[in-house]
Amino acid sequence: MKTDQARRRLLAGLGATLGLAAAGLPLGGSASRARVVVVGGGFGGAAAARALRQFAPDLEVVLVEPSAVFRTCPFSNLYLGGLRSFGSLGHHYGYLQRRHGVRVVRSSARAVDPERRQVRLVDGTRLGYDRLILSPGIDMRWDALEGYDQTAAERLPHAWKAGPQTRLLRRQLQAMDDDGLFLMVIPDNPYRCPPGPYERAAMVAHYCRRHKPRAKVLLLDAKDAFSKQALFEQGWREVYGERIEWVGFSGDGEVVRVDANQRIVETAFGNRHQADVINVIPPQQAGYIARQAGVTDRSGWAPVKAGTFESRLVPDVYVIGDAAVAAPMPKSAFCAHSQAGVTAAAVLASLAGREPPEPAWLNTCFSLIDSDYAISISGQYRLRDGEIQEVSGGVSPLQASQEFRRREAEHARDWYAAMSHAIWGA
Amino acid sequence: MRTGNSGGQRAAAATTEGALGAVALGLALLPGVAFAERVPVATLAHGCIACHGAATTDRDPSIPPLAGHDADVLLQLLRGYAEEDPAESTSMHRLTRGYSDQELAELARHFAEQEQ
Repeated sequence: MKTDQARRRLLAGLGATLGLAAAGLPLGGSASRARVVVVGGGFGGAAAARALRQFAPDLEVVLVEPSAVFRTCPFSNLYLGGLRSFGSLGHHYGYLQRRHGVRVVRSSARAVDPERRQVRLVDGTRLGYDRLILSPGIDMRWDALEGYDQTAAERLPHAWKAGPQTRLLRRQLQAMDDDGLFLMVIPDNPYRCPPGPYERAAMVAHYCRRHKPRAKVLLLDAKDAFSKQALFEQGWREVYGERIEWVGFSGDGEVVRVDANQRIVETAFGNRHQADVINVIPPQQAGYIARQAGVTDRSGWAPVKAGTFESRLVPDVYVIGDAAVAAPMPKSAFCAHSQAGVTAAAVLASLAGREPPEPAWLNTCFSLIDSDYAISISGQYRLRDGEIQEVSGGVSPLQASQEFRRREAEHARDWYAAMSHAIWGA
Repeated sequence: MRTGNSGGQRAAAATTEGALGAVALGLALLPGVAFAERVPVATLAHGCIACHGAATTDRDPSIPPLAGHDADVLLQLLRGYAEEDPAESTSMHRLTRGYSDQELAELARHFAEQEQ
């Protein structure tokens, strides 16, 4: 109750500058303070809030995030494999408030009114904005795979948002028979973290090598090719022998139906697979508030202007991270962070009535095969002829020494530490 | 050099007055071009700090923080990554090839000016 009151007071205070945006007054003198509201405190949203305050210390930045602790999907596979604690995945928002002066409002955004430029929170409070950045991540599409809904996910976890689902999958893995079968259902593109399922396979195998020596990992995939495929297949073989089996679309890997009660999945050609643990990664879409705000199209994702990530559908609303259509950039935490920097600059330019600065984005995704064996993909992206294009990049070499793989594993750990420190301060 | 910051009162002042960020972001550039021709160094540096931010542990990280290094040394390193495929590099050469030499120089200068 007390925190609720405190929050109401805070919101009332925030309301003081609300009239400006509502009245649509131009931001003229230095007395007027623009307000940018950021929805979603993940890699994209939290980094955008930080970048805005760094670039423009006078700007009022409000971050709306319902969770007190953000748990990262990056490295959640390492938790499944036993290489990280669950606690190590959690990050708080205190640093963003104290160090960067971001006002963090612990609530959920339920609607956006683009006419009045207001975000409505779950308790009915309205937050005015001059510019809005949505970084809502993903939601599962509960209607996309027959038999797989929220109830089914309690038996067949997706664990594709780090949190209780991740712990559930870990418990199921631990409880699995020594010679059990761990089955993963993998969707077609696009989805969050393209190499994620394949790193997860390695981390599950890593756990099994020690604790379930006769267990197998079966991957049923709705596509025929995947990120860093040759490197993954080589790494799986080198480290885990025959333990991991991947079946692509052509091999009847597309799962079209699941039976949560019996723990059975059925493929397009009617083959049925029963398993002891089934990890279903279902098709996905942009997070709720993006759909609610009207920035998504029929694909379920948010089309954006390539240089700024301003929505193509709703003015003054920007969409970054997994929710945005940013191909060829992948839906990765690194990209979300990178987009946050570019979009923060674009938002400031827009507030100042200027053209957006030229963008440049980066990506690097590390995938752990073993505790001392990682592979990576990197890319730099620029705007060319109005479209996002990769201008340099590549993946780890297929021919590489153990030392090289070990170094990349170390880089992965240092990347995670540096990135979380930059955003959440820990 | 970044120029054109002498315009005094600009609309940008509403949000960025007194902030070094305004200059770094290139907001002082004259409007009229669809996109300013150069990527602001703040944007470029934002990409780097995803891995090369502040030191977070006591031990030597395998990815060094960039702040406070000598600009010439940094630039030489970056050029090395951009021009060849050195054995010590895992992913740096993949990324560095995408920058112009001028951008590398700006980045080196930017990080040299940051406090360690």
